[in-house]
Amino acid sequence: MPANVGFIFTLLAFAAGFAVRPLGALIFGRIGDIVGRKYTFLVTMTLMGVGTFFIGVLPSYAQWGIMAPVVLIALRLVQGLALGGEYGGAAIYVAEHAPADKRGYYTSWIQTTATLGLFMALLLILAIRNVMGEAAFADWGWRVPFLLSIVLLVVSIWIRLKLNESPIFQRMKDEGRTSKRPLKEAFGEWSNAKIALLALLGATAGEAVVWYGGQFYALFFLTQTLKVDATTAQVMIAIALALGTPFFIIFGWLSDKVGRKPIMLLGFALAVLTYAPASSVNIFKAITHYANPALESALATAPVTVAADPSECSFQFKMTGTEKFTTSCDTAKAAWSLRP
Amino acid sequence: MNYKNEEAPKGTPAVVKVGEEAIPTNRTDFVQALMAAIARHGYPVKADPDQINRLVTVLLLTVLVIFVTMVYGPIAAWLVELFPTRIRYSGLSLPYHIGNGWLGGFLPATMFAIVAATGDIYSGLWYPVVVAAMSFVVGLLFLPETKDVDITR
Repeated sequence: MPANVGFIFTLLAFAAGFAVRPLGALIFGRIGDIVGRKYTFLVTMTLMGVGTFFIGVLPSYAQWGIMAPVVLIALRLVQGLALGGEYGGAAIYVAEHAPADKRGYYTSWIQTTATLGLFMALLLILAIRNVMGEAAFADWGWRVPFLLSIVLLVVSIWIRLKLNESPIFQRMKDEGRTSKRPLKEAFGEWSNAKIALLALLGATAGEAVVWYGGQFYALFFLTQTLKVDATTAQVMIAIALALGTPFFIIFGWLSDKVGRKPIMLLGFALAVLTYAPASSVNIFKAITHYANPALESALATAPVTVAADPSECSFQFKMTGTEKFTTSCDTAKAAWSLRP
Repeated sequence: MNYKNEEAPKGTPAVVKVGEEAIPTNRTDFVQALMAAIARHGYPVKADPDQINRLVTVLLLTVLVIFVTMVYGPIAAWLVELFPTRIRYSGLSLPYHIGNGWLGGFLPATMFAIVAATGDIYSGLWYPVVVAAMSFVVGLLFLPETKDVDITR
């Protein structure tokens, strides 16, 4: 495949999984409120498992041509849709079973799973890479984690088939009090839509950027910006994830005592304080100091400046690597990408 | 690469300065000269494994994970309690996945795009800072504490 076409498909495949999650939320949220929690998250998990497994058996571009990346993107869409329905079901199912004064503690166990998933994925990839070597991993070894996921799928389906419907939902259903048109009720009526909007702006938006910033961007910052080699970076992140994970439970438990709001707000505030580039306690600058001190001292002693006629400068974000830079300002800035 | 931008007079060719050393882009060997200057001033191509303080780096990464646990640990309960049972699944799922799927999933690309646009390796951090600050204010002023609500309603 031509390199630039390949990169576009890579970006699309990655983005597709995230982009359709809200659509999955609408489709499966509706089913979950009409049919039930148990049925819905059984369906979403099966879809997720099947989508993941099929990525592992996907023919290569050499065998299948353009169909290979197209089907890959389709499978990522399936995964994204499924996840859009999966999380809500899991959180609600556990919360509706939990004793009223232990809901934060019970649901916090679900909150560990995304991080534990990343942790296990990192360990598995590190292990497979080291056993079979880089070349074999790139050739076919990357398929192993996708294929192994079928084991988790089978275990999960078996467990979920034995579970009962959430008691709170079941009672509501028995009394015929469930919503017939939950989407209209949830987002078409201002009293409910207002809660959804405030939950997005006041809770999930901040939670998402703190989470993806602290976990994923931190990894890319180590490897892309500080040029720490991939294995060292992944091992350090994996250890940090292992050390930090018990705190999901601790803060979930604590939220049953002091409330959800103070802990969440304190988390937002601490992130603002320690992520802000201008902050004197910026954690990312501290990471530069300890992970790549040579870069830090070069930045301090020989800062680089590009002096150019501003009308000549265009936006430096190359999507495909094929754009041509013609002005002297662009020549200056494009030079960075030529660095080994 | 980290760099600052400076305005030059209209029509003059761009110049890259590494410390005190100026390298004009109209030199025929511009790229080689620039790479040589960067190397001479101590910019490393890779992080030197012997210079990485692994212990402190892991501790700093752990602090980042602990902030994650503060905002992610209690949020499932908070979201469940914010919505009535009739529409809980729909109501909770949409804001959760717009937040995590869109604002979160595209965060690495957004942050690196900001870095590429400004030249400052820390500038991408403004994105999570601005969004988290917004959530702090909106959450503080408009979202209720819910730990004692009756979720059977």
